Amino acid sequence: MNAPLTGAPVRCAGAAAAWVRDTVAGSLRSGRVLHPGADAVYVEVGGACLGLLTTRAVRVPCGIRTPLASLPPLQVGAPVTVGGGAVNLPGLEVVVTTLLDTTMPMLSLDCAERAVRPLEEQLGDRLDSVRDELPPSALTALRNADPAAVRQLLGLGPGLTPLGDDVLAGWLAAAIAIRHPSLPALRAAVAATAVERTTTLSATLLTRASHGEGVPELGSLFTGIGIGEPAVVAESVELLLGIGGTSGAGILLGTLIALQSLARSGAPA
Amino acid sequence: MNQNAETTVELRAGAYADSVTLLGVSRQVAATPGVLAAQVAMATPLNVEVLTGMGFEVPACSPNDMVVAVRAESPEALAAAVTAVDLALAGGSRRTASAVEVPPRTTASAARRSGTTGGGVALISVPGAYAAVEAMDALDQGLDVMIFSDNVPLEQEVALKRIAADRDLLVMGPDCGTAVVGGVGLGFANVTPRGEVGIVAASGTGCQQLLCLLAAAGVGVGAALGVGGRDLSAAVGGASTRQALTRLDADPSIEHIVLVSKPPAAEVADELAGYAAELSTPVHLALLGPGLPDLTRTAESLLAAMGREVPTWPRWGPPAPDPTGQWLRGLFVGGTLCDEAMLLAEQRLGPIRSNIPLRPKLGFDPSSGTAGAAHSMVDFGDDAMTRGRAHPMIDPTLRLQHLEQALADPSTGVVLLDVVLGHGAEPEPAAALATTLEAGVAAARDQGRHVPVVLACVGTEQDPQGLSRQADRLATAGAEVYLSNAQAVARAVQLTGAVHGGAA
Repeated sequence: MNAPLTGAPVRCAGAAAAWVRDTVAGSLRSGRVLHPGADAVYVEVGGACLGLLTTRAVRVPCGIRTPLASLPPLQVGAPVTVGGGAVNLPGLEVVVTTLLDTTMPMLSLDCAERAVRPLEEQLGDRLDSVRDELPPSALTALRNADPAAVRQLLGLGPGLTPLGDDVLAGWLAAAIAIRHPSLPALRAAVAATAVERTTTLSATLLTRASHGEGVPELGSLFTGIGIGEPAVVAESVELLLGIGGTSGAGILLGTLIALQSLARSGAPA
Repeated sequence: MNQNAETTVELRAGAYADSVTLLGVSRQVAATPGVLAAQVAMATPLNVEVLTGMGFEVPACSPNDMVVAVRAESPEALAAAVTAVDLALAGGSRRTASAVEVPPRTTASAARRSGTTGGGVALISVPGAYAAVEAMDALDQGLDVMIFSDNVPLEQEVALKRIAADRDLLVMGPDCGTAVVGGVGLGFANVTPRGEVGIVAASGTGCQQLLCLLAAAGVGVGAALGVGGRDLSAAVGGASTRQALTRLDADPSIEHIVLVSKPPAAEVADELAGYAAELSTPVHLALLGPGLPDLTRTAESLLAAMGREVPTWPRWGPPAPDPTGQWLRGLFVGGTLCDEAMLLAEQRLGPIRSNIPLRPKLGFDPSSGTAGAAHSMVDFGDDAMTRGRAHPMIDPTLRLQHLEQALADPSTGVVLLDVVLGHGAEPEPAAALATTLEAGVAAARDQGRHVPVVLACVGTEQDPQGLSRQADRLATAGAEVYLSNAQAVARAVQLTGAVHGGAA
């Protein structure tokens, strides 16, 4: 299904997380197009970022997944209305009809600790290129679960979801899954500064990571770790590494750091 | 810093590109002659700090803006660099951080993406309850369909084949384990030379037996079209068989057609024999049934019709001693090989009990134990035995358990087995089987019993498992191994008959 370039608006059904459905429900509100792309259009509504996703798009937890193969061309700042369960853009209306669970599975401490070594072995040096893009002091701080890491990473990196944010998102999602004792401090640091210090899309994704949500490939990784199935872990890692230019690798790096800190310090209280 | 340098810092609201694209743009532009520094990034505070550190003055901006900062030696170089940024961003903007190549999510979209709509074949391998939906999706895209799935409801098979025939399309299956299309083996397929023989098979392992016998005689197969084990039943009426025969008849590279099937419904067999007789390509019928030629005889007849020499079919291992037990126990992964064995053995040994019996009154449920005081043969590939588990050609566990039981049972006379090689099958089927055989035969010997094991190994030297390598391993474990299932059955019957005082 393709969105037509001209003519009547396309109306299609979409699937999204419950909080997205809640955001879209209710009375009509105005928003604007933030980032129009071929595979995804990100819009801002009430300070949050929602994505309208084609079948090719990364399935971000703030996205509404549609069956569309492409989206109509849109201009930055184009008007968006949200309400009544639908998102309306020029040439496109998406109604949220299906709920998705974008939360990550919880992990037992045993599973998480056992997963570290095989994960390190599978990744080998494949995260080195993203590590090289980040200040060593920031990674050291994150390894120590020091909230100072947030200041050094948030918004660092050129892309729409800066690499530093991807690493933080991976760390937060994993920290929730393993109930990391330092989670509250880092979560608070992110919440206090994300809106000012990074893109609206990335800030939204960090907020969702702070609620234990992430891309399904990360959920699959946690599932594989949870059931102790190396094949699932291996496949999920490859899928994650394929996300974006460096986003998936950044998420993996953050996840690995969270798991390593757990394995190093023993079971968190 | 070069005091004569030209500098520009632009903000672009809502620009959309991923990290790698922006890093690439920055590096590409920075490498342009005359450019002293270039940075393209989202204008987050940290990125703005970096830019400030590089000597750029960034105006007030939002993290959602993209900032393009370039310093060059001259106005011309600066203009060229900004143009290069525009070009590079335009090149990267249509595929972004969101551009992961997701696999197609429906059969129709897979067909469209692969460009096979209106020609080609879709292989459907999903749980049987869902196979018809996917098959219909493929037919709607103008594709032939091979349904590997079993446990597909009969009425769905009938409906699919009726629709396919109306559209001049072919439904291979359900439960179609083997096919060779355009020289490519699908499902469980042996590696054989290409040649002028075409096979229409309502029987996967029957087809594989023919493929391998012909390969051993140096004869190749151009196409093998499976039609599913129920196609020649009264309910289905040979719908796909007619379609497949027509296809092969129209193929100028096919000079001989063989139609192989498990025992068919008599009226369907008659109707198809009449249909085949009207085709321009000679059709050799290999329809298993009482008193009809076995698959090896059919292969030999075909070779004779082609003017080819019939070879001595290979065998491995020394002759086994006569058994001490009484009953023949056949444990098969191939349904047609089991059918063929029952048809041949019954002529000499009398009734054979089975989970796929030649007559209903001979049926028994293998999961409730052995057949007791009777000859028996079990097809472990039967639908009822594969529900919730892989086919025994992939997962041998269940048959190995029954083999252990049979070898430990003092009433067992001869054990008759099949091993089917080729793509899709176990990578080393002889390994686990030989281990079980050695242990079971040795334990029997310790009890003063002899349990001869006779085995048909259906494969070719070119198969991934290697025919001789597997057969040698099994022979080393004490089995008599034959390429021809019919010859293996004949030997097993001979050994069993020795106990029955020549009554066999």
